[in-house]
Amino acid sequence: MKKGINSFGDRLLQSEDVNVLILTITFVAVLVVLSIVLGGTFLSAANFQSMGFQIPEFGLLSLAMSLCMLAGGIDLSIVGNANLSSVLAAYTLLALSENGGNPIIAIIVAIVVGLVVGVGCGLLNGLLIAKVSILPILATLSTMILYDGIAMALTDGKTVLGFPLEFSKMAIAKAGGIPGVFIVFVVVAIIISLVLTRTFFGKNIYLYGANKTVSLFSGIRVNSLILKTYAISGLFAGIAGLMLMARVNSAKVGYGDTYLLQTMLVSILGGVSPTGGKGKVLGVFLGILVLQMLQSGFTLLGVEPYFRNFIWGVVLIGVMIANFYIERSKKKIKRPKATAKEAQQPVA
Amino acid sequence: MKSNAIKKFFSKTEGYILLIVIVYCIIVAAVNPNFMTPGNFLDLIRSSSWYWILGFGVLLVLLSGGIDVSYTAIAICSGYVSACVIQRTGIENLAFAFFIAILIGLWFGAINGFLIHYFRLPTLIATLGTKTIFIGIMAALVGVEAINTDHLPAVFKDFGLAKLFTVPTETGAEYGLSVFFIPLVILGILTWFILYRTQIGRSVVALGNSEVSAERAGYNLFKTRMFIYMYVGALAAVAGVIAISDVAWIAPLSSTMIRGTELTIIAALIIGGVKLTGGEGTVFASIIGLLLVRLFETTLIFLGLTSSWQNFFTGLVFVASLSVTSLQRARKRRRMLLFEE
Repeated sequence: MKKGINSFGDRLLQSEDVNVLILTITFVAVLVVLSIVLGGTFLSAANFQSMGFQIPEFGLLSLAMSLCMLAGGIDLSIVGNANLSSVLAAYTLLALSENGGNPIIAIIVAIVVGLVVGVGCGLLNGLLIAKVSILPILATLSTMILYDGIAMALTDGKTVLGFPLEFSKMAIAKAGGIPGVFIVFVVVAIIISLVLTRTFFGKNIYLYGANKTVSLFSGIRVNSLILKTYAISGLFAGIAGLMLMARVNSAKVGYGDTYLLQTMLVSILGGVSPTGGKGKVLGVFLGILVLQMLQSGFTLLGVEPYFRNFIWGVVLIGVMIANFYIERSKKKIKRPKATAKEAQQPVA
Repeated sequence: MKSNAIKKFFSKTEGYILLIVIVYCIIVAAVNPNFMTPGNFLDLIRSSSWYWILGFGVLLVLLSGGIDVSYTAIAICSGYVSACVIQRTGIENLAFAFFIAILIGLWFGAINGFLIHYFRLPTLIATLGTKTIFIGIMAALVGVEAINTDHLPAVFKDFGLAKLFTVPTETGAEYGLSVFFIPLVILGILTWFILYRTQIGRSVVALGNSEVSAERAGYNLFKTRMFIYMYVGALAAVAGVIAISDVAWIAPLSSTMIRGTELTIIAALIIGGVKLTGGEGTVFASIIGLLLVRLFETTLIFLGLTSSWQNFFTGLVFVASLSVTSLQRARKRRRMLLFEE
């Protein structure tokens, strides 16, 4: 009996780190397999650099999604939010730089506009969830349609382009060979990770995600917690929108639509529980790296997009089924422990 | 007594959404008199019929407390495969087309139901995954080449153009009621009958209200879930065949016809008064919710706005109607000192 509880495998299974461990192994395995199959084309500096340019956008969106999932919610509006932010930033940029204005000032104002819109959209989500008490999935589903609708009504479905050169230069800026956008992403990920693990606010997000009623009765200001969580999610979406806009040097409704499935996939792959309260930024970060490596590998191998999506679907369901078995074996280990205690009691 | 019943009807979500539909129609008609023609309405029925059929299936899923986002993929796959099979075998028979499509729809639905029941997967995430898997299976087995109007089997084209009755207009053109109206009515009545007159229908609602209670009441939830997702699959297949017949071509990967409407249809049903957390919702609510969304989609042009404004209005109505119902519910919960959702 003792052996059953304390053996290494069981203890590992019980710990929260099992996901990070699995992901690290997966990460290394994928890296090795792709390096062997693709050789030099995969291991080249150019490939890693291009991955560094692609990760930040959907990485930030995944962090936004994970944050809301940790709080027991979901944010379906992140892609719509990113598009709306980028469209409004694009209009600001055009208006300020067209009449011979200083492009640097125009870019700064546009970025501020993009971020403010992102946070504003996030706050609206938070308001609907906290004050109007709409379920997160419903609130963000409706704002997803609304943000998309506003951006669509503004642009009429057309592409907004013609930005000053300095703006697109920003997207390809590098520091010591590392893409600037990637550095921004890593800094943001580290900050949010510290916030989640080291602050009361972060702890409260976990508590709220694990049990809403308990956190309400523990005296947590639940409403302000939700508002802050969704505002941060909106901020990330805004940053991602600006990055996307700088990379493709234009803004349009419908950019990044495929990201929504992938952000959920990465969050769950990274160990975030879709019911809330469990998960780590490190796990999500590793999940993002794994997904991006596979994505690049598929591109190099010339895999069709629908087949790529098929693999994401299989992985998503596979991970969920694996989680189901892990959870079940956890319960199985716990059960004999309880019955053993009960059996001992009459003797004592 | 009678006025009481009317008052009760309009205090429900379906009621005031119907009111919004009527007011909206009056506004459009006032701005543009061309809107109020019978031809327009018959055309709306034709182009919306597959939305409604998909909506009936989604209604069952929402009633059971789940969310399905894979049914549009099922519609595309089963419709496309059925068209391919008929094209390759040369059996030009409408019943055969529906048979093939429904068979595939049932299979895909069974996969959903099995995964959701056996592994206790959250329905949204499970169907997000299977959505891409269905497209992948179709691509691997049948291919993904688009079938244009010239190559589409004649059964589909004839079915799409067939009318129940036609009325000639003064200009010499004709308008009429499409045959799509027949499956629409049959499936609407069938859904109503299943929900209110059969044991399995009641088990769907029971599951949506409380899974634990439904199980303790003796319902076999495996059977219930399989039924729900297979029914959605079958209805999606019918909708797929109708949609392909309507537009007379299909490009399974790029077609924007069915693809991408899954969340809009769910949103439309919720606008109509179906509860996302399960247990509440009627066939009428799904019809009226979808009617409002379809009106926004098709009639904005009469108001002098482009169709780009459609999502803006849908989103606005969605946020507004959700706010009203959620506030009411929250106030009721607070009064009863209920803190759990």
